[in-house]
Amino acid sequence: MSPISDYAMVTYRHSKLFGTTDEQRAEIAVMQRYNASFNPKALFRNPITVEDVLQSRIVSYPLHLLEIVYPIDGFHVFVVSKRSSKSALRNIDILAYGEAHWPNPPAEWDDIIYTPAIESAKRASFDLNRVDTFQLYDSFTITVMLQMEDIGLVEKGKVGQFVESHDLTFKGDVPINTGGGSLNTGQPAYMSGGVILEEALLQLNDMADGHQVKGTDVVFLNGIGWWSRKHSVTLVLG
Amino acid sequence: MRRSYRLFNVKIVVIVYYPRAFCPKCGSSDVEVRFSEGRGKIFAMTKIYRKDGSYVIYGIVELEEGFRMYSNIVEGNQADIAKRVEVIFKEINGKKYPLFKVI
Repeated sequence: MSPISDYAMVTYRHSKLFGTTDEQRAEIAVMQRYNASFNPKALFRNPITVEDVLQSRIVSYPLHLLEIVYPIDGFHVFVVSKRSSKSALRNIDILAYGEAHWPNPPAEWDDIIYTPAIESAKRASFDLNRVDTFQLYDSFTITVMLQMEDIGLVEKGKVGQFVESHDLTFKGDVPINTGGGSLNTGQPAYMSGGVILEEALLQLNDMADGHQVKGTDVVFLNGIGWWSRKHSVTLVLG
Repeated sequence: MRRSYRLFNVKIVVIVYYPRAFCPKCGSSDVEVRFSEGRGKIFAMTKIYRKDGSYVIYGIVELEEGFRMYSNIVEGNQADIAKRVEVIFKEINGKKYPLFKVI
């Protein structure tokens, strides 16, 4: 088993239980690619359509190639300074924080369609109406969708309809992964927390060239770790 | 008014797979090996494609005794979530592995 086949099992079960379609998942890939097309740092920038996603080969049913993150070499450096330092950057507070660890194999969980994000987000307990953009770990299209449900943006099982009725691009009503996410920047050394954190900090400092969400003051991040998603960290910055 | 109470000492039985030296729910080391009949149904599955278009089916099987395990599903033309399966043992390099087939 690989992370791809592991998440593919979740994807298929989610579609079987809730009727989530390939097209709905493809929308995530399309909207994130749209964001990436405005991000000079993105690896993949040419716009794609739902049809492109569905035409790409199935790696592990039902996941298509264009729903899967691309591993790259790379790293991020984050410099943390005192609040009183003479920086041109704004001060940022951690408005909420939560983490959760589910050490047992997912087969032992109540159901594999849940992630520890449901617990970490509950611990962070932040009013999502105050959030300007969401940065959610995106190893696969389904990963984003699972977190959208688990952090409370939409009820479990309803994310497919939510994707159809909302614009998740940086120009939309629910901006998610505004720089295109790891799906389009690549996944540096299998660690994507840096990708979403960097994008959050750029948005908060009005420095997201070409894909800035105007007036961003609060960013909600959720990272999921280990390849069968046993760990989750929720972080709200603002 | 006088009431009488009966207190029961309840021993909770938890079926755990993979096997462990102690219970992952409560930490008790009072564990024993039990045998499964090897029948259950498919809880989750995926078809992992090779470049030539062929595939293997990998999934999570929910056994009747109340535990789930990862395994391959073979002879899987009819394989789908909720389909009933039973174990078959396949010898690979001198070791026997439990795989499942649709019944």
